[in-house]
Amino acid sequence: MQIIQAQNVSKNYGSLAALKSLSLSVEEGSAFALLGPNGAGKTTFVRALLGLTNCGGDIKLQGLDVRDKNARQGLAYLPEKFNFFSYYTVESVLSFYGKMQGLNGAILNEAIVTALDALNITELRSKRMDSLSKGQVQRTGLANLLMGENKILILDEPFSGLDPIGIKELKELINRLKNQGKTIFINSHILSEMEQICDQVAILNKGDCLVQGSLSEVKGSKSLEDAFYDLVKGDEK
Amino acid sequence: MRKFQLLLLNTLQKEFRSKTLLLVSIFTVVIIFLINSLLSYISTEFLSQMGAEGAAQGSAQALIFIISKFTSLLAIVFGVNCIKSDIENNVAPLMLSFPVSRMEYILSRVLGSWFIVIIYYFVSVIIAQILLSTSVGSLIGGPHLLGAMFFSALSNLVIILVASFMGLYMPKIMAFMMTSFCSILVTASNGYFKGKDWSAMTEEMNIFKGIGLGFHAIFPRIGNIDDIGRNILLKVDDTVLNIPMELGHYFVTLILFFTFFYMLFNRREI
Repeated sequence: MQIIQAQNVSKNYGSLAALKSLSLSVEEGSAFALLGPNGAGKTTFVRALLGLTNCGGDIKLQGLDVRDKNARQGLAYLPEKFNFFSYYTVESVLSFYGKMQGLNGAILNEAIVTALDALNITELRSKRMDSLSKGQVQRTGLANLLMGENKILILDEPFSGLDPIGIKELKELINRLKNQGKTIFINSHILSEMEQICDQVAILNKGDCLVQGSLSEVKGSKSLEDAFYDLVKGDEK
Repeated sequence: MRKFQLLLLNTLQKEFRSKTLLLVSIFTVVIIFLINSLLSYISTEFLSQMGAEGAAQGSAQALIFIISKFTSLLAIVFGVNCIKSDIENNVAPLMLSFPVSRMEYILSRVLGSWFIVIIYYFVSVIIAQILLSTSVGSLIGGPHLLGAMFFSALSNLVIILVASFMGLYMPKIMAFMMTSFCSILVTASNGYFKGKDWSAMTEEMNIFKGIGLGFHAIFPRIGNIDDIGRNILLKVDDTVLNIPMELGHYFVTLILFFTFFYMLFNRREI
Protein backbone atom coordinates (compact mmCIF):
# COMPACT_ATOMS: atom_id res chain seq x y z
CA MET A 1 0.00 0.00 0.00
CA GLN A 2 1.24 3.48 -0.86
CA ILE A 3 1.07 5.54 2.30
CA ILE A 4 2.32 8.75 0.64
CA GLN A 5 1.22 9.64 -2.88
CA ALA A 6 2.20 12.86 -4.61
CA GLN A 7 0.95 13.62 -8.11
CA ASN A 8 2.16 16.55 -10.21
CA VAL A 9 3.05 18.67 -7.20
CA SER A 10 4.25 22.11 -8.17
CA LYS A 11 5.19 25.13 -6.16
CA ASN A 12 6.47 28.51 -7.27
CA TYR A 13 8.02 31.25 -5.19
CA GLY A 14 7.58 34.20 -7.49
CA SER A 15 9.36 33.28 -10.70
CA LEU A 16 11.32 30.47 -9.02
CA ALA A 17 9.86 26.99 -9.47
CA ALA A 18 10.64 25.12 -6.24
CA LEU A 19 8.77 21.98 -7.32
CA LYS A 20 8.05 21.15 -10.96
CA SER A 21 5.20 18.71 -11.39
CA LEU A 22 6.78 16.33 -8.92
CA SER A 23 5.31 12.85 -8.52
CA LEU A 24 6.47 10.24 -6.07
CA SER A 25 5.08 7.56 -3.82
CA VAL A 26 6.17 5.85 -0.63
CA GLU A 27 5.28 2.29 0.31
CA GLU A 28 3.99 1.62 3.79
CA GLY A 29 6.71 0.21 6.06
CA SER A 30 9.60 1.45 3.96
CA ALA A 31 12.44 3.77 4.90
CA PHE A 32 12.38 6.40 2.20
CA ALA A 33 15.16 8.92 1.58
CA LEU A 34 14.44 12.15 -0.26
CA LEU A 35 17.84 13.27 -1.45
CA GLY A 36 19.02 16.30 -3.29
CA PRO A 37 21.50 19.17 -3.23
CA ASN A 38 20.71 22.39 -1.39
CA GLY A 39 17.81 24.21 -3.02
CA ALA A 40 16.50 21.07 -4.72
CA GLY A 41 13.04 21.50 -3.16
CA LYS A 42 13.27 18.82 -0.46
CA THR A 43 12.10 20.99 2.43
CA THR A 44 9.37 22.53 0.27
CA PHE A 45 8.11 19.03 -0.45
CA VAL A 46 8.15 18.07 3.24
CA ARG A 47 6.21 21.24 4.06
CA ALA A 48 3.73 20.41 1.31
CA LEU A 49 3.42 16.90 2.72
CA LEU A 50 2.40 18.35 6.09
CA GLY A 51 -0.04 20.79 4.52
CA LEU A 52 2.06 23.75 5.68
CA THR A 53 2.30 25.22 2.20
CA ASN A 54 -0.21 25.42 -0.60
CA CYS A 55 0.87 23.95 -3.88
CA GLY A 56 -0.55 22.66 -7.10
CA GLY A 57 -1.18 18.97 -7.66
CA ASP A 58 -2.39 16.31 -5.35
CA ILE A 59 -0.78 14.94 -2.18
CA LYS A 60 -2.32 12.13 -0.20
CA LEU A 61 -1.24 10.81 3.18
CA GLN A 62 -2.78 7.51 4.23
CA GLY A 63 -5.21 7.92 1.33
CA LEU A 64 -6.44 11.33 2.53
CA ASP A 65 -5.77 14.77 1.15
CA VAL A 66 -3.08 16.49 3.23
CA ARG A 67 -5.43 19.38 3.94
CA ASP A 68 -7.62 16.96 5.87
CA LYS A 69 -6.41 16.93 9.48
CA ASN A 70 -7.13 13.18 9.74
CA ALA A 71 -4.40 12.56 7.17
CA ARG A 72 -1.93 13.49 9.94
CA GLN A 73 -3.32 10.99 12.41
CA GLY A 74 -0.45 8.74 13.51
CA LEU A 75 2.16 11.02 11.96
CA ALA A 76 5.18 12.39 13.78
CA TYR A 77 7.34 15.15 12.35
CA LEU A 78 10.83 16.22 13.31
CA PRO A 79 11.91 19.52 11.73
CA GLU A 80 15.54 20.24 10.90
CA LYS A 81 15.88 22.58 13.85
CA PHE A 82 13.57 21.22 16.49
CA ASN A 83 12.35 23.91 18.86
CA PHE A 84 9.73 24.08 21.55
CA PHE A 85 8.65 26.57 24.18
CA SER A 86 11.71 27.38 26.25
CA TYR A 87 9.96 27.04 29.62
CA TYR A 88 8.89 23.43 28.96
CA THR A 89 10.97 20.68 30.55
CA VAL A 90 11.99 17.70 28.44
CA GLU A 91 9.38 15.62 30.26
CA SER A 92 6.60 18.14 29.65
CA VAL A 93 7.49 18.31 25.93
CA LEU A 94 7.19 14.52 25.72
CA SER A 95 4.02 14.63 27.76
CA PHE A 96 2.49 17.22 25.40
CA TYR A 97 3.40 15.10 22.37
CA GLY A 98 2.08 11.97 24.03
CA LYS A 99 -1.21 13.60 24.92
CA MET A 100 -1.57 14.96 21.39
CA GLN A 101 -1.12 11.36 20.23
CA GLY A 102 -3.87 10.23 22.59
CA LEU A 103 -1.76 8.79 25.43
CA ASN A 104 -2.76 9.25 29.05
CA GLY A 105 -2.06 8.19 32.63
CA ALA A 106 0.26 5.26 33.24
CA ILE A 107 0.64 4.54 29.51
CA LEU A 108 1.84 8.10 28.95
CA ASN A 109 4.34 7.88 31.83
CA GLU A 110 5.64 4.57 30.54
CA ALA A 111 6.02 6.00 27.04
CA ILE A 112 7.98 8.97 28.43
CA VAL A 113 10.36 6.67 30.33
CA THR A 114 10.85 4.47 27.25
CA ALA A 115 11.48 7.44 24.94
CA LEU A 116 13.95 9.07 27.35
CA ASP A 117 15.76 5.76 27.72
CA ALA A 118 15.85 5.09 23.98
CA LEU A 119 17.55 8.43 23.34
CA ASN A 120 19.77 8.25 26.44
CA ILE A 121 18.40 11.48 27.84
CA THR A 122 16.85 10.21 31.08
CA GLU A 123 19.03 12.59 33.09
CA LEU A 124 17.57 15.54 31.14
CA ARG A 125 14.01 14.69 32.16
CA SER A 126 13.44 17.72 34.40
CA LYS A 127 15.66 20.17 32.46
CA ARG A 128 14.11 23.11 30.71
CA MET A 129 14.42 23.33 26.95
CA ASP A 130 16.38 26.58 27.13
CA SER A 131 19.09 24.88 29.24
CA LEU A 132 19.82 22.13 26.68
CA SER A 133 22.62 21.97 24.14
CA LYS A 134 21.81 21.82 20.41
CA GLY A 135 22.36 18.05 20.33
CA GLN A 136 20.22 17.51 23.44
CA VAL A 137 17.38 19.54 21.90
CA GLN A 138 17.60 17.40 18.77
CA ARG A 139 17.51 14.21 20.86
CA THR A 140 14.41 15.52 22.64
CA GLY A 141 12.83 16.08 19.23
CA LEU A 142 13.73 12.53 18.27
CA ALA A 143 12.28 11.19 21.53
CA ASN A 144 8.95 12.78 20.55
CA LEU A 145 8.80 10.44 17.56
CA LEU A 146 8.49 7.55 19.99
CA MET A 147 5.45 8.96 21.77
CA GLY A 148 2.31 7.14 20.69
CA GLU A 149 1.57 4.66 17.95
CA ASN A 150 2.90 6.65 15.02
CA LYS A 151 2.74 5.00 11.62
CA ILE A 152 4.59 7.63 9.61
CA LEU A 153 7.71 9.45 10.75
CA ILE A 154 8.81 12.45 8.74
CA LEU A 155 12.34 13.55 9.54
CA ASP A 156 13.82 16.69 8.05
CA GLU A 157 17.63 16.51 8.20
CA PRO A 158 17.57 14.42 11.39
CA PHE A 159 21.36 14.14 11.65
CA SER A 160 21.95 17.86 11.88
CA GLY A 161 23.29 18.89 15.28
CA LEU A 162 24.14 15.35 16.36
CA ASP A 163 27.64 14.19 17.32
CA PRO A 164 29.04 10.90 15.88
CA ILE A 165 27.66 8.91 18.81
CA GLY A 166 24.26 10.53 18.33
CA ILE A 167 24.37 9.74 14.60
CA LYS A 168 25.16 6.08 15.27
CA GLU A 169 22.39 5.83 17.87
CA LEU A 170 19.92 7.53 15.54
CA LYS A 171 20.71 5.07 12.76
CA GLU A 172 20.07 2.22 15.18
CA LEU A 173 16.82 3.84 16.29
CA ILE A 174 15.63 4.31 12.72
CA ASN A 175 16.44 0.68 11.90
CA ARG A 176 14.54 -0.41 15.00
CA LEU A 177 11.50 1.68 14.02
CA LYS A 178 11.70 0.34 10.47
CA ASN A 179 11.67 -3.20 11.83
CA GLN A 180 8.52 -2.31 13.77
CA GLY A 181 6.81 -1.64 10.42
CA LYS A 182 6.76 2.14 10.62
CA THR A 183 7.11 4.20 7.47
CA ILE A 184 10.09 6.53 7.70
CA PHE A 185 10.45 9.47 5.36
CA ILE A 186 13.82 11.18 5.65
CA ASN A 187 14.86 14.34 3.93
CA SER A 188 18.63 14.57 3.91
CA HIS A 189 21.75 15.26 1.94
CA ILE A 190 24.06 13.04 4.01
CA LEU A 191 24.26 10.22 1.50
CA SER A 192 26.50 7.84 3.44
CA GLU A 193 24.01 7.64 6.32
CA MET A 194 21.04 7.30 4.02
CA GLU A 195 22.66 4.42 2.19
CA GLN A 196 22.84 2.48 5.45
CA ILE A 197 19.25 2.98 6.63
CA CYS A 198 16.97 3.53 3.64
CA ASP A 199 15.55 1.02 1.21
CA GLN A 200 13.73 3.47 -1.09
CA VAL A 201 15.27 6.59 -2.59
CA ALA A 202 14.24 9.60 -4.65
CA ILE A 203 16.68 12.20 -5.91
CA LEU A 204 15.50 15.75 -6.48
CA ASN A 205 17.25 18.52 -8.34
CA LYS A 206 15.86 21.98 -9.03
CA GLY A 207 12.34 20.84 -8.19
CA ASP A 208 12.43 17.80 -10.49
CA CYS A 209 12.46 14.19 -9.39
CA LEU A 210 15.39 12.72 -11.32
CA VAL A 211 14.90 9.15 -10.18
CA GLN A 212 12.88 7.13 -7.72
CA GLY A 213 13.13 3.48 -6.79
CA SER A 214 14.74 0.97 -4.48
CA LEU A 215 18.22 1.78 -3.26
CA SER A 216 19.76 -0.95 -5.42
CA GLU A 217 17.90 0.26 -8.54
CA VAL A 218 18.98 3.84 -8.06
CA LYS A 219 22.65 3.28 -7.27
CA GLY A 220 23.25 0.16 -9.41
CA SER A 221 26.78 -1.02 -8.97
CA LYS A 222 28.03 2.38 -7.81
CA SER A 223 27.99 3.90 -4.37
CA LEU A 224 24.97 6.12 -3.65
CA GLU A 225 27.29 9.12 -3.58
CA ASP A 226 28.61 8.41 -7.08
CA ALA A 227 25.14 7.66 -8.45
CA PHE A 228 23.85 10.89 -6.92
CA TYR A 229 26.75 12.91 -8.31
CA ASP A 230 26.34 11.50 -11.83
CA LEU A 231 22.58 12.08 -11.85
CA VAL A 232 22.69 15.64 -10.51
CA LYS A 233 25.65 16.70 -12.65
CA GLY A 234 24.11 15.02 -15.70
CA ASP A 235 20.89 16.94 -15.08
CA GLU A 236 22.72 20.24 -14.91
CA LYS A 237 24.47 19.74 -18.25
CA MET B 1 -11.86 18.13 20.90
CA ARG B 2 -9.21 16.82 23.28
CA LYS B 3 -6.44 18.11 21.02
CA PHE B 4 -8.14 21.50 20.93
CA GLN B 5 -8.23 21.53 24.74
CA LEU B 6 -4.54 20.64 24.87
CA LEU B 7 -3.71 23.49 22.50
CA LEU B 8 -5.88 25.85 24.55
CA LEU B 9 -4.09 24.81 27.72
CA ASN B 10 -0.77 25.26 25.95
CA THR B 11 -1.82 28.82 25.02
CA LEU B 12 -2.76 29.61 28.63
CA GLN B 13 0.59 28.27 29.86
CA LYS B 14 2.38 30.30 27.23
CA GLU B 15 0.60 33.60 27.86
CA PHE B 16 0.61 33.37 31.65
CA ARG B 17 4.38 33.70 31.46
CA SER B 18 4.14 36.97 29.57
CA LYS B 19 6.25 39.73 31.11
CA THR B 20 3.72 42.27 29.85
CA LEU B 21 0.99 40.56 31.90
CA LEU B 22 3.19 40.70 34.99
CA LEU B 23 4.10 44.38 34.48
CA VAL B 24 0.55 45.50 33.73
CA SER B 25 -0.79 43.49 36.69
CA ILE B 26 1.72 45.07 39.09
CA PHE B 27 0.99 48.53 37.71
CA THR B 28 -2.76 47.94 38.01
CA VAL B 29 -2.50 46.86 41.65
CA VAL B 30 -0.35 49.92 42.43
CA ILE B 31 -2.90 52.21 40.77
CA ILE B 32 -5.77 50.55 42.64
CA PHE B 33 -3.98 51.00 45.97
CA LEU B 34 -3.14 54.63 45.18
CA ILE B 35 -6.71 55.49 44.28
CA ASN B 36 -7.96 53.62 47.33
CA SER B 37 -5.58 55.54 49.58
CA LEU B 38 -6.77 58.77 48.00
CA LEU B 39 -10.37 57.73 48.61
CA SER B 40 -9.64 56.91 52.26
CA TYR B 41 -8.10 60.37 52.68
CA ILE B 42 -11.06 62.07 51.00
CA SER B 43 -13.50 60.03 53.08
CA THR B 44 -11.75 61.07 56.28
CA GLU B 45 -11.17 64.75 55.45
CA PHE B 46 -14.14 65.72 53.29
CA LEU B 47 -16.77 63.17 54.21
CA SER B 48 -19.32 65.75 55.27
CA GLN B 49 -19.18 67.62 51.93
CA MET B 50 -19.07 64.74 49.43
CA GLY B 51 -20.35 61.63 51.15
CA ALA B 52 -18.22 58.48 51.19
CA GLU B 53 -20.54 56.61 48.85
CA GLY B 54 -20.37 59.32 46.17
CA ALA B 55 -16.57 59.54 46.37
CA ALA B 56 -16.27 55.76 46.15
CA GLN B 57 -18.56 55.64 43.09
CA GLY B 58 -16.40 58.29 41.41
CA SER B 59 -13.25 56.36 42.24
CA ALA B 60 -14.80 53.11 41.01
CA GLN B 61 -15.60 54.75 37.67
CA ALA B 62 -12.07 56.08 37.35
CA LEU B 63 -10.61 52.70 38.24
CA ILE B 64 -12.83 50.79 35.85
CA PHE B 65 -11.85 53.21 33.09
CA ILE B 66 -8.13 52.67 33.81
CA ILE B 67 -8.53 48.90 34.09
CA SER B 68 -10.48 48.83 30.80
CA LYS B 69 -7.71 50.73 29.01
CA PHE B 70 -5.01 48.44 30.43
CA THR B 71 -7.12 45.45 29.41
CA SER B 72 -7.31 46.73 25.84
CA LEU B 73 -3.54 47.23 25.89
CA LEU B 74 -3.02 43.65 27.07
CA ALA B 75 -5.47 42.40 24.44
CA ILE B 76 -3.41 44.05 21.70
CA VAL B 77 -0.09 42.69 23.05
CA PHE B 78 -1.45 39.15 23.45
CA GLY B 79 -3.27 39.29 20.15
CA VAL B 80 -0.16 40.34 18.22
CA ASN B 81 1.91 37.59 19.87
CA CYS B 82 -0.47 34.67 20.06
CA ILE B 83 0.21 33.25 16.59
CA LYS B 84 3.18 35.35 15.55
CA SER B 85 5.42 34.04 18.36
CA ASP B 86 4.72 30.44 17.26
CA ILE B 87 5.76 31.29 13.71
CA GLU B 88 8.85 33.20 14.86
CA ASN B 89 9.95 30.34 17.14
CA ASN B 90 9.25 27.72 14.47
CA VAL B 91 6.70 26.02 16.72
CA ALA B 92 3.71 26.58 14.40
CA PRO B 93 4.78 23.84 11.91
CA LEU B 94 5.05 21.39 14.82
CA MET B 95 1.60 22.30 16.11
CA LEU B 96 0.09 21.97 12.66
CA SER B 97 1.79 18.61 12.07
CA PHE B 98 -0.59 17.16 14.66
CA PRO B 99 -4.04 16.17 13.45
CA VAL B 100 -5.52 19.58 14.21
CA SER B 101 -7.09 21.91 11.67
CA ARG B 102 -5.94 25.46 11.20
CA MET B 103 -9.35 26.56 12.47
CA GLU B 104 -8.76 24.72 15.77
CA TYR B 105 -5.26 26.15 15.97
CA ILE B 106 -6.39 29.79 15.51
CA LEU B 107 -9.31 29.36 17.89
CA SER B 108 -7.12 27.82 20.59
CA ARG B 109 -4.58 30.63 20.36
CA VAL B 110 -7.14 33.48 20.19
CA LEU B 111 -9.46 32.08 22.87
CA GLY B 112 -6.53 31.24 25.16
CA SER B 113 -5.29 34.82 24.95
CA TRP B 114 -8.84 36.07 25.47
CA PHE B 115 -9.25 34.01 28.66
CA ILE B 116 -6.09 35.52 30.13
CA VAL B 117 -7.30 39.03 29.33
CA ILE B 118 -10.69 38.28 30.90
CA ILE B 119 -8.99 36.88 34.01
CA TYR B 120 -6.83 40.01 34.29
CA TYR B 121 -9.92 42.24 33.97
CA PHE B 122 -11.93 40.16 36.42
CA VAL B 123 -9.21 40.02 39.09
CA SER B 124 -8.41 43.74 38.75
CA VAL B 125 -12.07 44.75 39.03
CA ILE B 126 -12.65 42.46 42.01
CA ILE B 127 -9.57 43.84 43.84
CA ALA B 128 -10.74 47.40 43.13
CA GLN B 129 -14.26 46.59 44.27
CA ILE B 130 -13.16 44.94 47.53
CA LEU B 131 -10.75 47.74 48.45
CA LEU B 132 -13.17 50.53 47.65
CA SER B 133 -16.00 48.78 49.49
CA THR B 134 -13.88 48.23 52.61
CA SER B 135 -12.74 51.87 52.52
CA VAL B 136 -16.27 53.23 52.70
CA GLY B 137 -17.89 50.36 54.59
CA SER B 138 -20.52 49.53 51.96
CA LEU B 139 -20.59 47.51 48.73
CA ILE B 140 -19.38 49.50 45.72
CA GLY B 141 -20.24 48.09 42.33
CA GLY B 142 -22.19 44.87 42.75
CA PRO B 143 -23.58 42.28 40.38
CA HIS B 144 -24.02 44.71 37.50
CA LEU B 145 -20.23 44.67 37.24
CA LEU B 146 -20.61 41.25 35.67
CA GLY B 147 -22.71 42.76 32.88
CA ALA B 148 -20.06 45.41 32.29
CA MET B 149 -17.40 42.72 32.24
CA PHE B 150 -19.32 40.71 29.67
CA PHE B 151 -19.36 43.65 27.25
CA SER B 152 -15.73 44.49 27.95
CA ALA B 153 -14.85 40.87 27.15
CA LEU B 154 -16.71 41.10 23.82
CA SER B 155 -14.83 44.23 22.91
CA ASN B 156 -11.47 42.65 23.80
CA LEU B 157 -12.16 39.54 21.74
CA VAL B 158 -12.36 41.74 18.65
CA ILE B 159 -9.15 43.53 19.58
CA ILE B 160 -7.30 40.20 20.05
CA LEU B 161 -8.60 38.90 16.73
CA VAL B 162 -7.61 42.05 14.83
CA ALA B 163 -4.20 42.13 16.56
CA SER B 164 -3.47 38.47 15.77
CA PHE B 165 -4.41 39.12 12.14
CA MET B 166 -2.17 42.20 11.97
CA GLY B 167 0.63 40.26 13.70
CA LEU B 168 0.69 37.76 10.85
CA TYR B 169 1.38 40.35 8.19
CA MET B 170 3.56 43.00 9.83
CA PRO B 171 6.27 43.44 12.46
CA LYS B 172 5.12 43.46 16.09
CA ILE B 173 5.45 47.20 16.73
CA MET B 174 3.67 48.01 13.47
CA ALA B 175 0.93 45.47 14.28
CA PHE B 176 0.53 47.01 17.74
CA MET B 177 0.23 50.51 16.28
CA MET B 178 -2.12 49.47 13.48
CA THR B 179 -4.43 47.62 15.88
CA SER B 180 -4.48 50.62 18.22
CA PHE B 181 -5.18 52.91 15.28
CA CYS B 182 -8.00 50.69 13.99
CA SER B 183 -9.47 50.42 17.47
CA ILE B 184 -9.45 54.22 17.89
CA LEU B 185 -10.89 54.72 14.39
CA VAL B 186 -13.73 52.25 14.99
CA THR B 187 -14.50 53.69 18.43
CA ALA B 188 -14.48 57.25 17.06
CA SER B 189 -16.71 56.36 14.11
CA ASN B 190 -19.08 54.48 16.44
CA GLY B 191 -19.29 57.56 18.65
CA TYR B 192 -19.96 59.84 15.68
CA PHE B 193 -22.62 57.70 14.03
CA LYS B 194 -24.19 56.40 17.24
CA GLY B 195 -27.97 56.78 17.22
CA LYS B 196 -28.08 58.43 13.77
CA ASP B 197 -30.46 57.16 11.12
CA TRP B 198 -29.30 56.37 7.59
CA SER B 199 -30.17 59.80 6.12
CA ALA B 200 -28.32 61.60 8.92
CA MET B 201 -25.34 59.31 8.41
CA THR B 202 -25.09 60.00 4.69
CA GLU B 203 -25.91 63.70 4.51
CA GLU B 204 -23.04 66.06 3.60
CA MET B 205 -20.91 63.05 2.72
CA ASN B 206 -17.17 63.52 2.30
CA ILE B 207 -14.24 61.12 2.12
CA PHE B 208 -13.51 61.09 5.86
CA LYS B 209 -17.14 60.59 6.72
CA GLY B 210 -17.27 57.80 4.12
CA ILE B 211 -14.28 56.04 5.67
CA GLY B 212 -15.77 56.42 9.14
CA LEU B 213 -19.10 55.07 7.91
CA GLY B 214 -17.32 52.11 6.34
CA PHE B 215 -15.60 51.27 9.62
CA HIS B 216 -18.87 51.75 11.52
CA ALA B 217 -20.71 49.41 9.16
CA ILE B 218 -18.27 46.54 8.60
CA PHE B 219 -16.33 46.27 11.86
CA PRO B 220 -17.76 45.03 15.15
CA ARG B 221 -18.84 48.22 16.95
CA ILE B 222 -16.51 47.99 19.92
CA GLY B 223 -17.17 51.65 20.79
CA ASN B 224 -20.89 50.99 21.22
CA ILE B 225 -20.24 47.70 23.02
CA ASP B 226 -17.95 49.53 25.47
CA ASP B 227 -20.61 52.22 25.93
CA ILE B 228 -23.22 49.59 26.77
CA GLY B 229 -20.86 48.07 29.34
CA ARG B 230 -20.14 51.47 30.88
CA ASN B 231 -23.85 52.33 31.01
CA ILE B 232 -24.56 49.06 32.82
CA LEU B 233 -21.77 49.82 35.25
CA LEU B 234 -22.99 53.34 35.93
CA LYS B 235 -26.64 52.25 35.92
CA VAL B 236 -27.42 54.73 33.14
CA ASP B 237 -30.39 54.11 30.87
CA ASP B 238 -29.23 54.65 27.31
CA THR B 239 -32.14 55.21 24.95
CA VAL B 240 -29.85 55.67 21.94
CA LEU B 241 -28.24 52.22 21.84
CA ASN B 242 -30.40 49.24 21.05
CA ILE B 243 -28.64 46.37 22.85
CA PRO B 244 -30.09 43.42 20.85
CA MET B 245 -29.33 45.21 17.58
CA GLU B 246 -25.81 46.09 18.66
CA LEU B 247 -25.18 42.52 19.77
CA GLY B 248 -26.60 41.23 16.48
CA HIS B 249 -24.32 43.53 14.49
CA TYR B 250 -21.39 42.56 16.71
CA PHE B 251 -21.76 38.82 16.22
CA VAL B 252 -22.47 39.01 12.47
CA THR B 253 -19.44 41.23 11.79
CA LEU B 254 -17.27 39.21 14.19
CA ILE B 255 -18.10 35.98 12.35
CA LEU B 256 -17.46 37.66 8.99
CA PHE B 257 -14.12 39.02 10.17
CA PHE B 258 -13.11 35.67 11.64
CA THR B 259 -14.05 33.91 8.39
CA PHE B 260 -11.94 36.39 6.42
CA PHE B 261 -9.02 35.91 8.83
CA TYR B 262 -9.35 32.12 8.66
CA MET B 263 -9.45 32.10 4.85
CA LEU B 264 -6.26 34.15 4.68
CA PHE B 265 -4.55 32.07 7.35
CA ASN B 266 -5.54 28.88 5.56
CA ARG B 267 -3.69 30.04 2.47
CA ARG B 268 -0.68 31.23 4.39
CA GLU B 269 2.71 29.52 4.30
CA ILE B 270 3.68 28.34 7.78
